[in-house]
Amino acid sequence: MVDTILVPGKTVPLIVFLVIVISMYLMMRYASKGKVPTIRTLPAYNAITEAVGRAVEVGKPVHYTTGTYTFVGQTAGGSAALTAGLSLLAYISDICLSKGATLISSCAYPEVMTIESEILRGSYLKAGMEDEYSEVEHLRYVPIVSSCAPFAAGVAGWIEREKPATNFLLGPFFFESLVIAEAGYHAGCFQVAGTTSAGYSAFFLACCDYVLIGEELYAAAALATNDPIQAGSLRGNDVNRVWIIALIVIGVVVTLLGMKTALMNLLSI
Amino acid sequence: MSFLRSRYINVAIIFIAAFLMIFTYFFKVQALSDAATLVQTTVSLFAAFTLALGAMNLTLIAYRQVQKKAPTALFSVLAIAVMLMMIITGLIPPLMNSPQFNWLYNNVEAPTDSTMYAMMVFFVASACFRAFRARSKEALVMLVVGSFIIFTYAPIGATIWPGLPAIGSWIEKYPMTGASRGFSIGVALGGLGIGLRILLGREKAVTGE
Amino acid sequence: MSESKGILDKIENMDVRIIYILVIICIAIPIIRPMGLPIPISESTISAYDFINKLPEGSVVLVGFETGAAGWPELGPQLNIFMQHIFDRNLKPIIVSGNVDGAQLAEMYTIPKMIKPGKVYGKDWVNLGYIAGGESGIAAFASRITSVTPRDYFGTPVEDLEMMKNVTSAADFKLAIVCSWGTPGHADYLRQYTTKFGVPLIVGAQTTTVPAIVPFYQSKQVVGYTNGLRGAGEYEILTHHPGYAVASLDAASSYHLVVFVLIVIGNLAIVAKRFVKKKEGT
Repeated sequence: MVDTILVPGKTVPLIVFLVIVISMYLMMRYASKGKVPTIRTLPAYNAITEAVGRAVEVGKPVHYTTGTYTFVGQTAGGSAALTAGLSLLAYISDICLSKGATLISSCAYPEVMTIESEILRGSYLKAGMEDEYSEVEHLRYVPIVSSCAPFAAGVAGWIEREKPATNFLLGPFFFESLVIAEAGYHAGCFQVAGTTSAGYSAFFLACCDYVLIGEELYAAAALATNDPIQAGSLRGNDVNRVWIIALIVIGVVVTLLGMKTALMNLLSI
Repeated sequence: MSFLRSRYINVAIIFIAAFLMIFTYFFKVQALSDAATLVQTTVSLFAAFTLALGAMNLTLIAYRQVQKKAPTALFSVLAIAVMLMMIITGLIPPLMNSPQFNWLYNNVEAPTDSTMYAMMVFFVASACFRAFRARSKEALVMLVVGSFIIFTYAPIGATIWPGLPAIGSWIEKYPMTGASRGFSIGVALGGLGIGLRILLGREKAVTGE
Repeated sequence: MSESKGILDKIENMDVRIIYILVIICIAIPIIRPMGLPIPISESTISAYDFINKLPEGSVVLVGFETGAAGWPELGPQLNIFMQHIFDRNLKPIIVSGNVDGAQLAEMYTIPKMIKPGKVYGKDWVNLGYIAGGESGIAAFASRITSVTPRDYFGTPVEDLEMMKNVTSAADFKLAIVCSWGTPGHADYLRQYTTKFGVPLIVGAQTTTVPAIVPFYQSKQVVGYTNGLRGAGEYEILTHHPGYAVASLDAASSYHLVVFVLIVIGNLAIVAKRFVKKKEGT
């Protein structure tokens, strides 16, 4: 019966998937029971407080954007980075309110705007300043439909005019990353950026003061939320990396021994 | 209606949809495959509706700007006017192919979109001038590797010296691919972690909490 | 000494407007007066070309116009030359797009230029239009084409199109080609077509996404790829249809050269400043 319902060629991927998911779940469970792993310091994460402090000194707002991504009908990788960006928005919003800085967030999709509005409203409520939150003043909606160009133009233009003290770009980005980061550089902003795309991380590295590269964005989100489950899932990532490295080593050894065909046949069961 | 905003309902919907997708990837059960296709088609419908939601949201924000007499209220009105123009000309038969719509698209939308992308050329040049400075050993390595890659992608590289694209191709094929693989694996695992937390209802950012 | 240090400071922190002017000049000159530099062909472009050449006539090929107007300058030439090659080989392309204006760009800019006389819409090629929902939409499309595109771009029911009579899902595609500026991208096509249905994939890539594609090319999940405008130029040369991409490559070469020269100037300024500082110190 298993033969008939299992898709051909998916046995090994299923086993790998189950091993990865179970490892991750076990690490999250251990963390929730108190065995919280320590996450190494991330210079970009530590710079967030400094960045907000700079905005307070200068008396200019803090700008935040998660890029041009949404949850509806997009790829999983970008949605995960967007989730991390939203977690960091909550953290940075709390810091801004505690230090007296104004946070203004730009978003490209109405459904993301709704979530960001809830997050910011929650921050203001937590700080006892619910009456001071205004969606019109603290959220900027710069819509996109077919390309990031309008968003890039809208946000870059706003940065050039308003010259915020600090610019956070945390989430999934496309080519608007370079346009916004360059505008921030020329406006003299202190910039902290992070994205999971290798190609667009390079743009941030050229223009920003601190950058979270790839997985560091998820680690920063775990640090920001102080959630043991998130820290546990980072430990789960590390454990899974060990399995993957082991598979790579096995593959290399088997290929060197001339048994590549047998391995390929095994993988296609 | 408040029960629709309940976290448990959200998590249940997410869990059922994700379970269907994952299960039908590995197993062929016709009823579940049909259900998975239905979920995917529904998401496709939601995505189409979000286009209309975006238009409504833009109109609402423009209205608030005008009500507040904000300095940028005029631009908000202009944005709505242009949006309506595109909608109306798009509805003239043949749908989204009328001469008026094509004129607006070819002479307004396409050039402005392409211009923003083309501005990257200038930004890349100034970013490269700033970033490729050999202030440390690592920066020097990045500078040397970057130079080889520049001349691999430019046809003039082979004209200057055939070794340039040859070395650049080797760098692209081996060190860069290895790093890219590691990067992708790390990001994929991180994404899987977030996905698992969302499935288990432990990720609050998605629901705005 | 302090005078030379001042000049070196100015060079190191060169006004960006000077850089922009240099870039404009260096791009404009080769466009006005082409140099005709030789264009070596990459192995990945040859792989893509060979794969399409080996497909039997009449094979159904999915072509993803996953770009908007913004990405058209870089991806448009690739899509155009792929479509030209497909028509030359008498293959049957199905045009789709996960971007709202991708299918429209195909109708406005690609088909009028690349269509061969005698080709009949519905029999030799179809345009199924926009697929909403990103990867979910693609997944639904791959499982059952009519689930998200019951009608084509022009409103005709898919069942009435002669070419689509025996094409119901991605299992009927012999090849998928995707040119994407963002999302849906090559990763989505890899997951939903290649991994699930075994459809070979050719990627027309933006230069920034090539590092992410090379691992898949090396593992043969992607059978070939073209690298931006240069890849389009190479493909135009392979298919003996030199056009816009080939004409633009001289400008691309001079742009890369000016960027390299600027990088060298910046680094020389740093080295010279260190030398001057040392001398002032002694």
